[in-house]
Formats: sequence, C-alpha cells, structure tokens
Amino acid sequence: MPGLQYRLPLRSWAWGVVAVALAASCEDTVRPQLVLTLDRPSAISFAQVGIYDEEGVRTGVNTYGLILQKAQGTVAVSWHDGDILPEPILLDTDRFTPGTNPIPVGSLPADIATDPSSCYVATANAGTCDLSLIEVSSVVDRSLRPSVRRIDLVDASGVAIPARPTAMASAPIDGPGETEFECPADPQSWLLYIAYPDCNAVAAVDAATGQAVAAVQFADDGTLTITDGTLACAGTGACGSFVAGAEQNAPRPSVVEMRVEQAGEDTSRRLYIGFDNRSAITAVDLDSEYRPEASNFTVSLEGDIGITALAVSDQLTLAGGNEFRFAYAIATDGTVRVADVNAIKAECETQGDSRYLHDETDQAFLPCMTRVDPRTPPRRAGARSPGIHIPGNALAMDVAFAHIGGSVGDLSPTTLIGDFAYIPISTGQILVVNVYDRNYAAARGFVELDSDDYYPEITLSLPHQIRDNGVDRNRLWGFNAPKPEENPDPREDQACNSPDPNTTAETLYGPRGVLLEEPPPSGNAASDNVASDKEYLLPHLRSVWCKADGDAIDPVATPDDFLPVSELSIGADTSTRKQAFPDWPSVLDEDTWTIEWEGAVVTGRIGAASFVGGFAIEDGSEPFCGIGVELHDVLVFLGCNPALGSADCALGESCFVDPEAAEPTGLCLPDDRVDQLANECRGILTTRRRFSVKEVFSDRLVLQERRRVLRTTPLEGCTGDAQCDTLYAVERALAEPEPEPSNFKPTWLCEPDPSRAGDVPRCVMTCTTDNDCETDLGFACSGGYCVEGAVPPPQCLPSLRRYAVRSSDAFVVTSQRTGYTHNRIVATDGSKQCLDDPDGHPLSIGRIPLTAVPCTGDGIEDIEPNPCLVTVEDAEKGRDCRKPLEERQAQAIRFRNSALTLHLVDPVVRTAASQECDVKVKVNQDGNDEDVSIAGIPIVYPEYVQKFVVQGGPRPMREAMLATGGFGERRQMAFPVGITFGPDGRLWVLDQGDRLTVIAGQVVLINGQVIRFSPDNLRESAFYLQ
Amino acid sequence: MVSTRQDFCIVGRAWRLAVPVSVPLLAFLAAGCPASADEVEPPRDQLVFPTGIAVSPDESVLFVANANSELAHSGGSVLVVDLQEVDDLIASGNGACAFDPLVPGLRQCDESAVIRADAGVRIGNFATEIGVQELESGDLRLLIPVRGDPSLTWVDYPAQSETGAQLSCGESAEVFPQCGENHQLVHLRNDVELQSLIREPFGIYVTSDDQAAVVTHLSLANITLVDLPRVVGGGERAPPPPVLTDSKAGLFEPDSSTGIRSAVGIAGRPSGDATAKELMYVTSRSEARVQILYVDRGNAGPAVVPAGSFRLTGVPPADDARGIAFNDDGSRVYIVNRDPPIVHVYNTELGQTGLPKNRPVTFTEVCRDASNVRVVDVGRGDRVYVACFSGGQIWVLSPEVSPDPQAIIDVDRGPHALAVALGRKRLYVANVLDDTISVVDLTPGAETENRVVVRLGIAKNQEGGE
Repeated sequence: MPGLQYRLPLRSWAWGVVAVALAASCEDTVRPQLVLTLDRPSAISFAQVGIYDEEGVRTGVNTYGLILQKAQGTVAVSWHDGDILPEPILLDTDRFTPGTNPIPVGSLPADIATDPSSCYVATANAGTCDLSLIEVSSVVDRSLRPSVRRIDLVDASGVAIPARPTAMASAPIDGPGETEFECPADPQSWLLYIAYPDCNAVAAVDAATGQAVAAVQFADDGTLTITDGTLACAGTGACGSFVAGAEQNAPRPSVVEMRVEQAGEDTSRRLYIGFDNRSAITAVDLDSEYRPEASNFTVSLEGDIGITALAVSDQLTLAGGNEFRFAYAIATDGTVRVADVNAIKAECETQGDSRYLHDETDQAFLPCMTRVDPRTPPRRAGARSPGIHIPGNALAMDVAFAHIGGSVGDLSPTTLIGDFAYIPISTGQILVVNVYDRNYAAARGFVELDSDDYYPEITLSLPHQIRDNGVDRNRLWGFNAPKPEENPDPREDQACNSPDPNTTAETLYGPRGVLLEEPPPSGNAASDNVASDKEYLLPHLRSVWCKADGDAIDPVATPDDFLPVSELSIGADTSTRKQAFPDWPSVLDEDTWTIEWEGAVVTGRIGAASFVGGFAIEDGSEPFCGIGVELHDVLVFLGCNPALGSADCALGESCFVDPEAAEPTGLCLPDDRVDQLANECRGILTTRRRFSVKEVFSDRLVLQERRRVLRTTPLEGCTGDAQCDTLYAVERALAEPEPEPSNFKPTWLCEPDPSRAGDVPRCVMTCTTDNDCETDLGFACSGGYCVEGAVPPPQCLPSLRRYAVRSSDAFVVTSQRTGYTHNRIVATDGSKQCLDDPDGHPLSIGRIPLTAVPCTGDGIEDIEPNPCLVTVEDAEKGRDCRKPLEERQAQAIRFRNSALTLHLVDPVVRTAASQECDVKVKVNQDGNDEDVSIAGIPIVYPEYVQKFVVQGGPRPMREAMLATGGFGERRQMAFPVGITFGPDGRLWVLDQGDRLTVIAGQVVLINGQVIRFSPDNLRESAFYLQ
Repeated sequence: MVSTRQDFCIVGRAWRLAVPVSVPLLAFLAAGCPASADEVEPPRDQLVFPTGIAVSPDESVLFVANANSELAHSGGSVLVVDLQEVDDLIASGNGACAFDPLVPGLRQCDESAVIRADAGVRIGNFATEIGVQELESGDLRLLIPVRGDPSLTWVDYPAQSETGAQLSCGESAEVFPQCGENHQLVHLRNDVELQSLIREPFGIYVTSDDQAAVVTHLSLANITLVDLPRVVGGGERAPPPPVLTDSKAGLFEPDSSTGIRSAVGIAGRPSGDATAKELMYVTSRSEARVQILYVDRGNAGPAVVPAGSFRLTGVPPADDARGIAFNDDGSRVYIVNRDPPIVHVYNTELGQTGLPKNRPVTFTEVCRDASNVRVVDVGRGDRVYVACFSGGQIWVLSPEVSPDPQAIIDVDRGPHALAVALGRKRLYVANVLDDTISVVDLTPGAETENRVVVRLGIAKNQEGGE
C-alpha cells in the first residue's frame, strides 16, 4: 500500500515482509465476471437500415435483430452489417446503465413484428393486452435511450380487448431503399394480425392506433366471418379477464403466418392460421392493403390435434413442372404435419410405406400423397399420424424453410441445393427435412426408372423425409467391389461381408444385417441339446450367393467365385437387398436384433400369486396386454438369487434354495417358517417353476401346469406311443452321438397337450411318481404327467414374486431399440381380456413359429399372410453328402416387420434330395442300434438364438449446432424453441435453455443464446450470441 | 443460511455437522446461561421456515409444517391456519394488517391473527411436506416426514369436532404438546430389530383410498410404504397408528458426477376406476427417469411394487427432476426439471393395451430452481403453478395452449410448498426464506386473478435485517 508516512513500532524486516505481501496482493488480478445478456430469447424480428453516402446513395445495409425475451419483458438488439461486422453483436441500448441492456417493452410480450419500412417494431404484450412500439431510429442512434410507446388494443368500436394475444404476423420488411429514407416521427398505418385464442379470432390491428380494423372471427361450428374489427370478447375487465364459456368449443387461433409473394405482375398475400384446439389450417386471402378478404379455405388435418407453430413455403416448382406450396405445422401429437396449400389443399402423407413406391413414377403425385388418392401407400407400421415423426422422444419446437440455390453437384448429405425445412427439436438439435432436393432430382429423379436400378435411397430423398446423413448408399458389393491388391483372393476380401472398417463416419452404405456370431451359438445350451456336427441342421437365416468375381456365372460350376452370405448381408444381390429392407425409413441404425426360440417377452417384473378361482399371477399395474402375452405362453417364477442373500426377498423372508433344486435360484420363504415350508413346498422349490398361460387378462394370467413334451415331436403330430419312444431316443442322440445307456425309462403318450396351442397329438411324458420324471432337469409328477412345475400350496407363494413370460412354440424377435412388437390390446367391454387388435398392422408382429400358412406372393408388397411358409433357395457349401456346393430348395418361414424381411430356413430338419443323404442319428432301442432319419423333425431347443445387428440405416441429419462465438468455443444448444429465416439469408435459432458451459475460460451459466447459421452449412457456419 | 439453490440438503448436512459443535456449545450455554423451556420452544402462532402446507378436505383450515431450519428453537411445529379468517382478512382487513410499503396494493398481515394458537403441536426439525389422510370418521391424520429425526411423525386432527379443534399427538391435554416417540414412525413394523427409516425422508403421497402413503427419500433413492388404518374399531377414538411396512432401495441410478442417488417427488395417477391399482410416479434428481409404483395388499401384507418406468429423453439431460403432479383425470402428468429448467408434460391416458401411454406431449421453459408444482382447473382448463425457489415467483403455465407463461406471480423469498383450496379459489404459497405464506387469488376473470391478495407474516426484509 503506497503512502505510508509514519513509523510503526515494528522491526524493519517485518515491515519488509508486510510490504512484500501487500505488493503481491495489489498485483493479484481479478478476472472480471463474464456478463451475459440474453435471457430466454423466444422470438425475433428484423429491421434493415441502409447505409448511405453523402449523395444519399446506399452503400450498405445494417441488419438489426430484435430479440424478444418474454419472461423478462424486454427486447435485446443485435447488429451486423455483413461487411465490416460480418457476424452480429449485441447492442447496449442503455449506455447509462452498466452492462449490455435490452429494451424494456412490457409484461409478457407474446410476439414481435417489424413494419415493412423497418421504422417501427411492435410487440404484442400478453401481460397488459397492449402493444409496444419501438422506434428503430432511436435504437440505431445510440446516443439516445430507445423510444417505446404503449398503445392500447381496442376493437372497431374503441372497446378494450381484455384477451391475451398469443401470436402476431405482419407483412415482411421491404429492405432499405436505394436512396435514403427518413422514418416518420409517428408510426404510419400498418396492419398487424394478432391471434386471440380466447376470442376465437384473429384481429387485424392498425399499429399506429391500436384499433382493430378487421377481424377473422370463428364460430362454434368452425365457420369464419370477416368482421369490421368488432370482437365478441371486447369489453371491460383486466387483461386476461375474458373468460370464454361455450365459445371455447370454437376454434382458438393460436399461431399466424403471413406470406407475401411476387409472381410477375401479381402479388399474392395470404394469412395462414393454426389453432390450439382444431386439426386444421385456415388460409385467408388479403387484399392489397392487407385486409382480409372473403376468400378462404381450410385444410383439415388428421386426428384430434392442436398446432403450436406454423410455416409456409414459397410456391415451389418441382419435378415435372408441378407446383406446390407446403405448410408445415408442429402438432401436439409430436409430429410435423404437412399440407399442400396450393392446388391440392390437403394434408400430405409422409409416412407411406415406401415399399409400395418403387414402381411409382408420377412426379405430380409423390410430393404430396393424399389419403383420398388410391395410389397413396398404406402407412408404415408404428406411425402415429401422417406427419413427419421426430426420432426418439424429442419434440419439434418450430420450423422454417430455406431455399438454397447453386449448381447441382455430387450427391452428399452436405450438398444442400433446393428447398429444405429446418426444425429445432427439444434435444438441442436442428433436424433437416428435404422439401425438394434439387440436387438429387437432377442426379436421379425421385423414381426408379428401371426395375434393375438400385436406388433404394430414393425413399430417403423424397419430399418431406428427414434428410439422411449417409453417403454411398447405393454402393454395390460383391461383383462391383474392388479387389484389394494386398488380398487378391475374392473369397477372402470384404467384398461380400461387412464394409471396410476404415470408412468415414458418414459412409454408411445401405442397410444390412451383420450376424453377430455364426449360427448356431456355442454354449451349454447348445452342447446339451445338439451335437456340434448337427448344428447346421438348426433353423438359420437364409443365405444367398455373393458374386465375388464379377465375371462369375454359376455358383455350382465355379464355387470358388462365390460366397454364401446372409440374405441381410451387404454382399447379397440387389433384388434380395430390396426385399430384405424394403422401406428404408423404417430401419433403425445400429440396432441389435435377437431371434430366440421360446424367448422372453418380458422378464424381471413383480407380481403376486393368486389361488382364488384357480392358480394365477396378478400384476396390479395391468401390464399383460401391453407386454403382448398370448395364450399358452410360459410364465416363469424367477425365484431369488441366493448370492444376494435376502435382498431379492420381502421383509421377513429369506432366500431358500433346496439342495436338489434344478434351477440355481431359490424361493423367498417367511423366516419363521422356512423349515416347515421347505418340506411343504418342495415341489415348487425343486422344479423349473414354469406354467402355461391358460387365460390372459390385463391384470392377471390364469395358469396351468405345463407338461413335458418331446421337442422332437413332428409338427403334424405323433402317430403313436411307440413313435414317441423312438423320438425320445432321437432327442438324446442329437446331443450325444453315442449316448450312454440310461436306467431312466420314461413312459410316453401320444395325445393332445392342453398346455400348448393346437390339438395335434404330442409326445407327453407320463408318470406315477416324481421318479418317473427327469427331476434333475426340474420336472415333477402331477396328475399323471411330468410337468415343469406343479401348482403349489398357497403358503408356498405368499408374497410378491419376480416373474418372466416366455413364448411357447415360437421364436421371439426383439430389437434393442424397439423391443418386442405385437398387436395385443385390452378388450373394451370391461373384461380386461387381452385380444389381438383386429385393426393391427400386419407388420407389427414379433413371433416366428415353426410352421405357418403358405405365402401367397413373393412381391415386395405382399405382406400378408405374415409370417408365412415358403420354399426358398438357400446357398451353402458342403453340407449335404457328395456335393461340395449346392443351392438348395429349402423350406422357410418368411417373417416381415416394418424394417426388414427375413427367412428362417429349416424350421425342421431338412429332407435331402436323395434318401441316402438324409441325416440320421444312431439310436439304441431295446438293446439294438438303429439309424433313424430325422428329416422333418424339429430339433430347435429353448435358448437357441440368432443375433444380428442392423447397420447402415438412415441417420437423420440433426445437427447439434456446435456453434462458435466470439471466444472461439463451440457449444451446443440446450432447448431451441424458435427458428426464423432472416433477411440476411441466414437462419436464426432461439435457444432458451439454461446450460453450464465454458466461455473465455470461465464456467458460466448460459441463460439463452441466439445462433445464426447458413442453411447450406450447418456445422461450420454457426455463430452464437449470448 | 440456507442456499437458495438447494432444498435443505445443505441445511441437513449443516445440522449434522453442527451437532458436534452445538452439543458443547449448548452445554456451555446451559451452564452459564440457562434458557427456559418456553424461551426455546417454537412460537405457537408464527411461521418459522414453513416448508410444508396442506389444505384440509373441507377447506376450513390450512396445516403448516415449520422446519425451524435455523435451529433457533427447540424444534419445528405444525400449526393450524383458519382459512375463513384469512378470507375475512382479504375482504376487510383489520388491525393485524397493513399495506406493504414496497409492493403497492399488497396487504400483509401478522400471521398470528389467523393461526389458532392453541391448536398446534411441536415436532422435530426440518419437516418437509404434509400428507393428509381422511379417516373413515371424517377426522384427519397428518403425516409429516421429518428429516431431522429422521421419522414420519403423525398427528391427528378431529375435523368433526366443534370449532377450536386441535392437533393432537396422543392423550395429553397439554396445549402445544411435543409429539413424542409414540407418534414418530422410525422402524419398519415398529420393530427395533428391523430397518430404521432411511434418512432424508422428503416427499409424501397419500393414496386416493387413504389407506397407504409412500415416502420418498433424498438419499439412496429409497421409498417407504406406510400402511394407514382408516377405521376406528373396538370403542377406540381413533384408528390404530400407521405402520411403516415396506421399503424399497435404490430405485434410481446415482448421478454420474456426484454419486448421489435420490428419489424426490411423488404423485398418484387418478384413474377413475376404483378397482384398479393406483399407479404412483416418482421422480429423481439423479437419473432422467420416472419410476412407476403401486401398492399391493397381498397375504404377506402391504408392499410397494415397482411397475415399470420411462425415461425423460425429450430434453436432455433432465436428470434433476423435482415436483410432479397429475391433472384431475389422470391424462397428463407435469414434471418439473431443473436441468435444463423445463416442465415436461406427458400423456398418461390409457392406451389400447390398458397401460398409460407415458408419451411426451410438450416441453415448456420454466424458471430456474423450480421446486413444486400444482395443477388446477378453476374453469379455464388446466393451469400449472410452479414454485420458483430462487426467483421468488410462481409461474403459471398452460403448456398445451402456449409455451409462454400465462402469468408470473411475485411472492416472497423461497417459495416452496403449494396448496390449493379450489372452492375458495385460492393458492397458498409457503415462502420458506421469508417465513410468510402468500395467498393468491385464482378466481377467473377477477382483477386479482393470479395475484397475491394477502401475505400472512411479515417478510424478513421488513423485519430489519435478515
């Protein structure tokens, strides 16, 4: 501290220490706290003011962004001139107050608009039911405080409007003139269209006076009347006090959009209105003074929805010279609805299953397929509406269109030429939608002109599809693939298998299934059921030929030039690939599929055993219809894990494991009765605890005992008890080629099994005591049959139990991203019974049985019956005796869902072309060895699984907008709520979300930001303001 | 002083840290400066960090739980506010009221004018919320999670008695009694050998059949089930005491950066079907997921059963959820999340499978540090009222009508608990940091709609110095 003038009673060296310490503290730098300005920006309007030279000739343009901050009740101002200041900065509108200050305008301003001359900016204030007018010149001249006038909103009679405005629209700004123009001191007449949902009206208000000069008034029946500005809700009362009674049934206009377009000598002006309680968009023509005319039309939208945001494109001339104008409406069902508001004046179907469009060539039809047109394909499975579906659980927040000019170039996701929609979504990204990709249209068109063409990505490029972020989609493999020099052997290169792992992230090629392990999987289940040399007989995904050599013709003649690959593989021929993935938009990328015999449809849920009116399991959350449980499914009581102690059990219970239990799990028994119940409940403690579902209700499953059945029972049924003995020997021989003699001699009956579907006779094991059953495998004797679990006494299942439900006699198909798909619903008669949905989509299935009705067609559009039985060509090498290679005619079950089609070949053991090549096993019956053919026998076992991952599915172009700012950091958006196309040719995104981030080395909490980017370069052009 | 960004966790921790300090300190004070019991007793007619409020079913009284967060007194309390007296104050005012010099038109009244001084009881420190069980007799039983003990303290209120009904913690005729151990649920099944109530009990929900309550815990993401007998029998005056009957641990994953796992808000889905199990939705401030539960009354006794969940993936990260509330018909659930500050609105209508759809409908920006939420329909559709703790505001939203707030109501510091008296068209807001209750008029079309019409208590900044 300088200036010490007097001596203090301390030693001099101590004063030196103090002086040094003080000097050091004085040199400490205090980093100034970063001050952020924006606080939850919600809307933006623009003003453009010319820069003129001394002769009054324009030399440049200043662009001002007026950023509305609703919660704060202010307008922040950005400025850039595109030249000296190419990127915007925020202006301080009050130099007398520290910080970068916005302009206070009023309470809860709902929307903002600029007059065409850019002289005034208006906000409609929902908190005070009035207008605020900002004089732009007072903002430009920063020596002054901005001038803001408050103007009361009144109807034609001068009566106040006590309803809250929600949205506002105005004619677009004209841009600065070539010569200097001086704004008038007072605002000139300028019409603002203000939406009043509570009034069921849109008022045309003269901003200069605040008086409504016209109104579009909606009645209960939805009809509209153009009034002189008289509003039914006008009257006394505080702002927001108007309570609409019966009028609430009338349409409530909540969003408005004005389009003004010059076409030659003509100028069209139209106001578009969306409603928060009506599934429609209404268009009202405006005259040259922007007053509403009687001419209007309404486009109905499907379902019971409201609209939260609306944008209308320019009139577009698409392929074939067909003209369209599209309205995109953000709907309350989470989808973006598309309608043509030009000639068709109807909603467009964007979720048509594109498998039906491969032969469609009408360019006038494809951009807007309407439900009344018979050519419009059925909606794809899982679609909730005809609108654009946002991936995941995100919601669309707003939408804006942009036109990008330029010469056509290489096809790539980032080559954006044409018309596109940009949709900010709640997960902090911008979704890009193709409205009309001119680049693709020039390169390919939107139709497959030749049936041999392989352009399946067309479906991704059609209008109103989310833009795909992948390249090389139609790359052909196999014969068209280059042979690496370092590995000239075509059988070894990657041409027929998974793509080169060195490809870039965007190089996705087409959808394909990559088997995760060669079927069948190894493991205990396999070795216990089927010997390794017989594994190839198990059901498997069909194989086709991949032509590794471009000149190869015949796989049998020149086997070295071919490789068998899965029909889902990228190396399959184009026809097979089209069949395998017929509707690319339905494919989910990086999705793992599992096909498991008698797999689980749910596991780990908790329910209570019930013994009232029969043995059942009850789950109070009523999940069983939603899970997709069907009759004869298998209910498994999972038991407790002894390794967890009693953690799996309820209070006062312990996990008890019977030493002779077949399963490695125990049952939770009350602590005070463990010994007693260990005896009484031995049946359930030592068995598999599996029961068959006899009746299915949403809240309970009525159960019955599930009998031990030979899995080798023919699908058409057994013929007699003696056959069952042979089939049992076959079952043992499948696992052990030469099984050890066994003292266990089961007794079989060939008869229908009520615990399984159908009434074909099956080989069921009978008994007198438990010793007659395979107790080591968890079977017990009950009612003369060996069962997987006997119904226990009630005291054995006193409390809640963990359970699983598995399918019976079918493969369960599940995907990691979509789970198990089914068409089960609950009856509406109050019975709570689970039924098949009669209107269920035929592709919404998740089971593959071992037999089915015959397929009726092989076309890409033949989706029923599903699943179905078919004979296919299955390519394999060296399976059958004597032939090193063959393409078999094999029996298969065809399974289709929305994403893919596959064939499960050999549901039962194949029948060879010649009897001598039939597969046989050696069985020992009555001391005699015998070779028994197993052709036509099902040998699949529980836990047998096929797995593959689907890669190369569509990757929605959704940019996280890693924007850069003045400090060079890149950061994401948190919650983008609005997007607007600015007069500078850029898109402006309003991000309201709070987020902790680092700016200039400081961790700060962003309270909102505005991001400006070029529509043709989302990633690299973004710039933020905060 | 409690941080405005936290909901008493810091206070809770401070309390535990304070114990080794306060014990010798208190000993010193006791030796040198003995204070009488009356002097440390919480005031029987004043608000002291009001954290929980609840309106009686007949809307005659408002119960207030005082947390005593500064430990200025020997404990917290539960008080009874006469709501008719409050309305009378609003209508006419009296000597107990004056206009706030800082807020034009706002009448503020000494809360003692409306608190029934002889009706309250004393409880432990750091009470959180109040659950109200309606007994078969029409009397009420209040359940208060008390973090300081930790316990679930229960108190009876003979609503059917004559005017002047008092809260009671048993047979004692003492005025303003201390609720003892017999009114504190601490162990499962009241068995000292069994698990104690997990620390940090926070939220509470009483099922619509008034037969059970579920308590959430800020620590360990636990929930505790309380069995609530309703029926008086055998000549008794009141039903048997409630019993902690089940506990479920680890409902949520821990936060990846802090390691904390936490269950916070809980609400039951109205179904309109008396035969169906009531589904309860639980939020977490460590995981972006909502857990669904129901109560099973099987042979082994009542148990709480996890029944699925859904993730909050619409606006990531969404891993700091707080208050949750359903609308009247159970078709919508509103979830307050702080990261980022958004109200998530989900469609909970039953789908064709009989299960709630649990699909996002919309997301609406809300104030920072939002805590509790209430959904009210006073004839203008669902309105969502959100308490903004750090901003001292209540935001009024209609998320499906407009993304913008319908109103922003300035209240006092630290608004936390919300309670609604629909018949009176009133919203009551407990302002923790200012020891006040703001009364908001909900009358549609009134000039005072969505405005504070009276403040009960004097805000601390007007007391000169806090």
